[in-house]
Amino acid sequence: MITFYLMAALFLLATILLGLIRVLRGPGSGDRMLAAQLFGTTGVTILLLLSMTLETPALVDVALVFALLAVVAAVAFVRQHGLPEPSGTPVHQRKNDQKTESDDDR
Amino acid sequence: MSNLLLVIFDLVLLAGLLGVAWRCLASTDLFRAVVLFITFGLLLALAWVRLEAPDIALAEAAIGAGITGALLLVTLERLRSIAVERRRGRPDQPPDPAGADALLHALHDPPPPRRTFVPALSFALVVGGLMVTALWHQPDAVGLEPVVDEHMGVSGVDHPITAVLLNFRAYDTFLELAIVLIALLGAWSLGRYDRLPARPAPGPILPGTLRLLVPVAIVTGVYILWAGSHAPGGAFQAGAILGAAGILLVLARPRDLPMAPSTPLRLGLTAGVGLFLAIGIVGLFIGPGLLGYPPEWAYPLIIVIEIAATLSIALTLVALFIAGRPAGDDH
Repeated sequence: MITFYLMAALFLLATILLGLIRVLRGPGSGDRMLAAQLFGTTGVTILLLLSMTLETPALVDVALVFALLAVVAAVAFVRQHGLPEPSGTPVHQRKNDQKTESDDDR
Repeated sequence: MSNLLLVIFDLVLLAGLLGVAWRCLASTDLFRAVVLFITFGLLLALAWVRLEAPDIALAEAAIGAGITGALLLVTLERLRSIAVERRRGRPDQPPDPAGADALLHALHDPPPPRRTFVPALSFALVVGGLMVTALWHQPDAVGLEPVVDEHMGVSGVDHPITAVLLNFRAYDTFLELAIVLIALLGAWSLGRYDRLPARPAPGPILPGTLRLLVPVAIVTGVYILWAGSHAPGGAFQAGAILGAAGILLVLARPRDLPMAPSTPLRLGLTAGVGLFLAIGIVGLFIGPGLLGYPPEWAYPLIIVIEIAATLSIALTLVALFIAGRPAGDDH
């Protein structure tokens, strides 16, 4: 069973590394932020699996704090929705961001 | 089999950490760098777990993944609004070369050619080589673990890390609390209270989330504080969680919060350091020495200090997040 938990944790870690592609490529800021939020959820699962394998019940507390505080960054991001883009942003990025916003409005 | 899997897990985690750190530092897009930094905090918390330091993983989860991410995002928001305002105010003038606009321009422009590559690489190699040599000759020491275990009986608590932090090495913790306070004084001396504009998010989701989350965060913070006496947890982690709850309220408020009255705020901010010092001085006269407690009083005194420290840390984090002393306070 321990082996199964560890393999699951390893698989989840691999999904985080794969998800980094979305953070690096974007294109919109919403895509990047959502990827980071999903990493938070995956991180909670990895912590719970590790707490089973390493037999450290304290890791459940770490997972709890993780799940609770991932929201803070999301709330800080939501505030910025609708802010004017910085004047220095390259044009292709600005276009992509606007597309994402219209996607969100739908 | 499971040992092999753990080694693979560690290697993948290490590769991920290095990769994320590199992309975060090399990113020219500020927002992407912030998101990568949040991801880095998450992976770092996992690394602390693998290093068998759940206390630090707790702190990293609370501060690295939660509060710092929000702080950087809000800083970015302020930079953008400053740049936009400058542009709107003086459309004809060229941008101020030292202003926020120029800063944003510089940050979004392609990076300059890497003239510093060779010196940086050689510096990193030299420092890395020195560190490896230093660790190579390190004898296999048992560390302080047996000494701490031997004296757990007089510490007043059941968790070795809390015993070290608040009893055996209370001096260090006291100075850490003082540093947190000094950081706030530094931020306050830089300028007056500069309001983050209240930006209500449309729709019921954000207020509903807050109504559910803030009470849960307060209960969790108190639980982590209580857990500190026998399991990973304690004042710093609990303070960070309560501070995060306060930051959530500051970020998502539908209208301006009434500013906290000045005197109670200042009393709360200094409670941790003040009480710690007072108890420490009392220890000088009736206990074993400065910042030492009589063994039979150790547990209640540690709990009192931890409660005051939690309150101070939480308030300081929120005040640092707002960054500016209370308005109407200059007479």
